[in-house]
Amino acid sequence: MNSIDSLLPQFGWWWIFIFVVLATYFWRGLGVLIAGHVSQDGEIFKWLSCVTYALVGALTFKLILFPIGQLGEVSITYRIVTCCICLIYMIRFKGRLIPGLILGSLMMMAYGLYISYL
Amino acid sequence: MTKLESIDTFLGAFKLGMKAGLYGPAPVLLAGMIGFGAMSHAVGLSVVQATSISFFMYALPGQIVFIEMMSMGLSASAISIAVALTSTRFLTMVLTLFPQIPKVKNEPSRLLSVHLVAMSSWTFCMRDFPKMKSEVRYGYFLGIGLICWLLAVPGTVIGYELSESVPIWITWPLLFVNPLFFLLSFTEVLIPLNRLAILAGGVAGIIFYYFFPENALLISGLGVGSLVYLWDYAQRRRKLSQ
Repeated sequence: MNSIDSLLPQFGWWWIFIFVVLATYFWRGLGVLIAGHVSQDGEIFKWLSCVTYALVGALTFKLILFPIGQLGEVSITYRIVTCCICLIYMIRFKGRLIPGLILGSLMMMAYGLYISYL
Repeated sequence: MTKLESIDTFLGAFKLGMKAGLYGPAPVLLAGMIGFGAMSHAVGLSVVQATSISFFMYALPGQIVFIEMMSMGLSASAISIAVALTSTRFLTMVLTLFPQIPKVKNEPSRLLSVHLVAMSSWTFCMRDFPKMKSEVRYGYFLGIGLICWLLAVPGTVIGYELSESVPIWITWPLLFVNPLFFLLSFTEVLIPLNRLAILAGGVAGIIFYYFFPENALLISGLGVGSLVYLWDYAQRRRKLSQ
């Protein structure tokens, strides 16, 4: 690990960039290489589905509740309320994805306008 | 989308995929990339750096992790590990998606086209593949994937150039679009076991984030996801033996 860091000043930003690009592609490429050996109906497929969904679920909850950037300036209660209203729209009223997203975006916009001008 | 079942040519599926992509994930992805462009500007990247990230990484959560950690001045190894962990989902996404596409002669290289696998294209392909003839699925995937990928660069540029003048009430919705898209797509997941995995992973993710913020994703995905699977496996075995 230290060798990567010691090379950093020489190569700078683009060095890290290449690393993260490779780190991202690695999983995609590996998926292609071993995809043929995993039966779609097998137990491994079921397990991988669980792992993927659990991971994406964790990522989503994290992005909403503990965002790293400016989104953290929006009150956490408001973020949760917005998500709940959009979810209710989707499930209870059989809403569609795009209108649901516009609804959530408008609620965020309203909050921003309220904070900025009121 | 009533035409899904009747499509029987690669080109037809490709065109339908592009159309589905334009009406489905593309607007969301474009909004997300615009938000990313704005963020890149805020942390002091050049427009070339910002667009290179979108073009070559093409994974919004990883991209956001990357530029945030860069701006915090963390080490190259820490950033690479965090991004790699954020991207582990691609392995399982490819493994769940590609086996549904039968191999044909002279098909576009999968090692290249796999770059188009992202939450946007994956969610829609997983939803629509069961309704389609298996031999046209690759064309459909390429259509959705390509249109979304091609929009990533202009989206990033627009966000970057706009960001000097964009007030907070536009930035917030842009930053919120991606997590909300993921959340709302979950309502379209039909298999109960996968729903349970999302919920268990999500709740576990919050708890683990307090104790192991850097490894919360991996523990929730691999650990809790496996536990959910094992629980289901045990349930099925018990039913079978009864």
